[in-house]
This record gives sequence, structure tokens and C-alpha cells, in this order.
Amino acid sequence: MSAIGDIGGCGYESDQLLPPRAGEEGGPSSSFADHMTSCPACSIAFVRRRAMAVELRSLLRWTAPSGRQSALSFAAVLERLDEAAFETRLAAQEPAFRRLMQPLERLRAPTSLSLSLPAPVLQLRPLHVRAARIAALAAAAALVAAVLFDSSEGPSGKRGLAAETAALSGRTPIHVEVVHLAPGSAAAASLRPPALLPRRGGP
Amino acid sequence: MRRGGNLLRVLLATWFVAAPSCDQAETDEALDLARKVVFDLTTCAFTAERHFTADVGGETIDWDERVKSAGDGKNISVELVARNGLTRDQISDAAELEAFDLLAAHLAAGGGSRVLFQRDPIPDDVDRLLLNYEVSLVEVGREPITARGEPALTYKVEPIYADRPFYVLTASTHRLRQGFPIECQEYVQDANGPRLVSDMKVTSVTWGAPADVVAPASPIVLRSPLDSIATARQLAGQIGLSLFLPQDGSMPLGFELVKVEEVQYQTTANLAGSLETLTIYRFVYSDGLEHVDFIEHLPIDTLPPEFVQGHGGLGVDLAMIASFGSITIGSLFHSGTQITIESRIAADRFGLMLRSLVPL
Repeated sequence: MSAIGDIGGCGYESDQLLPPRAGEEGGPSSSFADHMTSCPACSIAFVRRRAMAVELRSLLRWTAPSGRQSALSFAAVLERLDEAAFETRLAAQEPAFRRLMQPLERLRAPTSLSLSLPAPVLQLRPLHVRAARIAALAAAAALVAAVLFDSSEGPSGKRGLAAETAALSGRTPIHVEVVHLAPGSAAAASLRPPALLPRRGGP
Repeated sequence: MRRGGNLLRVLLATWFVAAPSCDQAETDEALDLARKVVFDLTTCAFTAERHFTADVGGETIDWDERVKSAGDGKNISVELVARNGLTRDQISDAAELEAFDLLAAHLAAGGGSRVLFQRDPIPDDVDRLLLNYEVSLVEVGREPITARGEPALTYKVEPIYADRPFYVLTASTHRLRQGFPIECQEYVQDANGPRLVSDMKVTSVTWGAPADVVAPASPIVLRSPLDSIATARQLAGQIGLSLFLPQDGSMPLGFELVKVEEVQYQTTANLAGSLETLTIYRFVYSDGLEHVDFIEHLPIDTLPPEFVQGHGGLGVDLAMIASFGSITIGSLFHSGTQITIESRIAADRFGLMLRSLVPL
């Protein structure tokens, strides 16, 4: 890998000597090209940085460790990690690492890292719910479900809570009709939120 | 096996499940270890300062809290230090003071693990979690919450179904407190992509038992687990309460009923404002990480009359669905039962759950 040294005091900022990102259009400006011709230090630095960028881009890429196709075996890495020894070694070698890191140039971070996320917003949506009571059907369905309930296993062979929830599918819903009201509408304004239990921890 | 050896095990388990060439015995072992995943803040002795940003009732607020835990499994306290950058002494506005005290009460009673607008997500069933989520490593490093830096792992817990939040979590990997939450960012998916709805960050921590931890009084007098829906129906019938649950298959994908319990809950939500005990039946559906809670009881006195009488006197039941950040609460009064559904599932799933309610 190419080494990068400090830039001399010619007036050119370090950030101005960065090679273009991959895919960026356009060549160097004429003033930049003129400066490269007249300033050997900047020219050498720029050539080295450009070479390093090429080397970095040519490195082998691995699949990002976010899916099942990941080529990195974290299990193997973590299994070999001796945490106590790792911490001790890290602490002991920290001064050495700092000395090695100190003279290195910092490259500009991707701009995507500085994007902020939008603030949270409230959504409050009152609803009307229409309940049609179909007593006869419900009673009949409940009777069938009650028979299923009393057996040790549900119709699908499940046990316990799973069998009980499966049996609920045979019952008749209370027939709720959901009507969305626009917030701020006259109907919505006539409603008040329900008084919630004082949540001192909550059940 | 050390008790705290859990966080990395989740990731190991995820890997083993994902890798088709793994030996079954290894998979079983990893899953067995992963089943130990529970980081309970009460089991670790510490004093931590935590900074939160969240949406509370439509208002974006931030606050600083101090969590003290004796590490004995029960004594933990959460004290509100500042709200929107102001300590209580610095607030003069009456409404601001009331808001400060209300938030302080919420935090104090919640024990820091789960209050309405605050939580440290904890898997309750790793098998089910792995069916419904993908867990991936983001970063291994050190977090500057102590002078030396805390070894930490950042990972993402991402649901397969986009109707529930995903989390980016940073947790300690120190062998004595593996899994201790250091940062937690909670996102929901909306039309414009991921949206941050809450953000928690530990700013400093001192390990060891603090001298003065006073556990808050709980409004829960008694919590009794029940073995079946049928038992709940029978007990509720004795106090004249009908119970309702959605038809199987109408719940969001991946959720199963995992818990039924009867709770004796003390509340002052009555016309006299006196302390009374309310019997509540609670049904918890879980996908391994998120819950859908059905809380059912006789109506409280302070319920608005529209909800008891039906809107406009037309015999039409009235329900309200309100969302705060990623939390949605739906309330419905039907056949003498007040039904409250609470979840971090997207609000548009509540319509289907309401429509499919059946009597038990």
C-alpha cells in the first residue's frame, strides 16, 4: 500500500488534494493542474493518493455480513476470540497503535454518514367501530367451538394455547366495521381519547 | 456456563441456523445457549446516566435519567435528572413542571426496563425470534462510557415482516455483564424508509452496587399466570366480564399467544379518585421480541360516556387508535368489556385485529 506524507506549506489544503471518488465525473480544474505542475510536493502527494485509491478499489470485496450469503464466518471468528487476552493485548499495544496512526492522513468520510434522520411525528387516528350483533350465529358458532375446546387437542392437533387460539377461528366475530375519520374533521373533533389507566408501570 | 454469556450466543445461533453445512449438534448447542438470552438490568450492579430522545404524545422530547441497580434481581430505581435539558429546579412554567413530574413518575415506576415510551428490547424466545428476525453484526469496538472504554458489540435486529420496528443495539461484551445495553436506536419503516422513533444512549456508568436504591411501589397487587384461555374465561365470568380475542390467523405474521394472566391492579381511575383494585385479564402474543398485548377488564369510571353509550346514541361502538412513536394503543368498549390492545406493530394492523375479535 502506498504511503502518504504531510503536505508542505504551499497554501493548498489537504482536502483539496483528494482524488475523485469512484464514478465521479469531470477532470481536475485548470488551476489545480497548474498547481500540480508548479508544486512538486503537492504533485507527489496527489499521485500517491491516486495510486492508493486505485489500490483500494482493486481490493477483493466480500459479501457484506448482513445476510445468509455472508462469506464471513463470524461464528469461527468469535469462537477463536479470547476476550481477556484480547483486551490485555489491546491495552498494551495501544500506545504503539497510536504512534502508527498519528502520521496517517484521514480520508473524507462518505457523505451518507452525515445525513440526519427526520424527527418522530405523532399520528392520532380516531375510528368509528360498528358492531352488528348476530346473536344466533354467534351462539351456534360458540357451541361448536365449545365442543372443540373441551377436547384435549384442537382440530389441527396443536396443544395448549395454540390449540385454543386455533379453535377461535371457528367463532363468529363481533362484526366490527372500521371507519377512518380524518383528524381535525367535525366528527373526530367530537371525540375524546379514552382515559387510559394511570400507568405506574402497567400490567 | 456463565450466566452473562448470552449476546454473542444469539449471533452464533443466528449463524448456525443460517449456515446449511453446520452440524446439527452444534446448532442444538448454540440454540440451547441462545435460549439463555435475557439481559435483566436488575441482575447487574451499576449506576448509569442514560440520555433518551423519543416521541411522547406528539412532542419530541429528550431527557436524562439516572438508573441505579443493586444487582440483587429486584431493587432498581430510575430518577429523572433533566427534561429537555432542564432540571426540575430550572423549570418555572407550571405545565412544564407537571410534564416533568409525570415523566418522572413513569420512569420511577417502570424500573427502566419497559415504560410506555422507553424500553430495552429483550428477546423472550430465541427460537421464535430467529424465525421472525435476522440478527446481524454491525461493529465490534469500545464505547467511551468509562475511562477505559467498554468492549461492545453493535448489532441489528431486523424483522422479516416490515410491520414492526427494527433495532440497532450496542451492548457490552465484557464477560461480567455481557448484553448490558449501551445504545438502542429504534426505527420503524414508513413510506419514506426507516424513521428513527427513539434513541437511548448510556453516557456514563459506574459498576458496583450503589448505596441508596429504593425500589418503587408497584400498582400490581397480584399477578397470576393462567394455564389456558378457558380458565381465564371461567374466572372472568365470575365477575361478570366477557373476554374477546382475535381469530387465529388475523394476528400479524409470526405472533403466537404465549401468556395468559390475571392481574390485580390498583388504580385511582374512578369518579371518587380513591384507590381501588381492578381485575385485569392479559393475553400476550409474541413473535420472540415484540408483543401484542390484549388487556381486558370492566370499564373504568372515567371512561368517556361516548365509549360506554355508543357514538351518537346509535348503538355504534367507538374505538380509538392512537400512535406514539412506534407504540400504538387501541381501545374498544364492547358488551361490558373494555379492551385495550397495545403493541409496536404498525397501526394499520389494528383494524384487522379489531374486526376479527370473537367472544371466548
